[in-house]
Amino acid sequence: MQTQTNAPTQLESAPVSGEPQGPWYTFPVDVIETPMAIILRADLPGVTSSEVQTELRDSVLTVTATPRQPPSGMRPVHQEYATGTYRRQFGLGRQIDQEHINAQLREGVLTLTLPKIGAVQPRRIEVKSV
Amino acid sequence: MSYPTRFGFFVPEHLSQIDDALRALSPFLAGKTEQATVVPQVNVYDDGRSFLVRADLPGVDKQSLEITAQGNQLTLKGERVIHPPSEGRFIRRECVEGKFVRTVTLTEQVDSEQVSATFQNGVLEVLLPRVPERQPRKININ
Repeated sequence: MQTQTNAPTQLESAPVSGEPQGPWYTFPVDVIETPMAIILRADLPGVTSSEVQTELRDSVLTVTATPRQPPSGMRPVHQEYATGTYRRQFGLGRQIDQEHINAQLREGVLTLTLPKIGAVQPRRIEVKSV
Repeated sequence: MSYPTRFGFFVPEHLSQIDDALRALSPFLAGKTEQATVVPQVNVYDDGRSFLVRADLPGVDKQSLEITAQGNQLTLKGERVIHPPSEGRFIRRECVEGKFVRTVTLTEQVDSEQVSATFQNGVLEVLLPRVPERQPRKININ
């Protein structure tokens, strides 16, 4: 999938190719746009900050996290959700300042702040008289 | 290629439908189902002595959690609130918020005095020891 570079604030999930086999689980994300940044809030329950990996390559931000496994010595008797590695990718537009991405994890919610380059300075186009 | 989404909560469709139906009948009935709008998913584990109930509750404030255990039932109650950004706007919303109540019925009685719970990284774990088995009673023949 092509990252839409002409729409700087747009984010989209990019497919994974040639990656190790799963099982992977995607996770829900809220996306907030402010004049200064794009903020991603992701639900990653059961994950500590050392278990989250964020990788940026070719304008694709990949978030991978492995939460705690089922308790040892106990057998599952009722399961409504599966536990496995979380993974999701986001294509970043050109206006994201890739050097200054900030990540915070609190109560199972990961907040990624993606600052915009030169935060909102509308470009003025002068009309020249010939 | 897409992966299965792992939500800590699911939104039961019938709840909102019931609420809409009630609202259509009378405004006084509106909100009857607002007590719970989302349902946390749980996994139950067992080691022979105790049950462990685990629920993913990302972003839930610990103060909003109310846990009760009685007989063979565990009830989890709480609310997840997603705070709107102080500036800017949502351009995509996938995370689930709302009040929830979930009752889990276990296969055996638990000792409600000994129930303990931890809440870490958005995961609630409740350990429920079984009621210790009563000693076999010897019956004398008169």
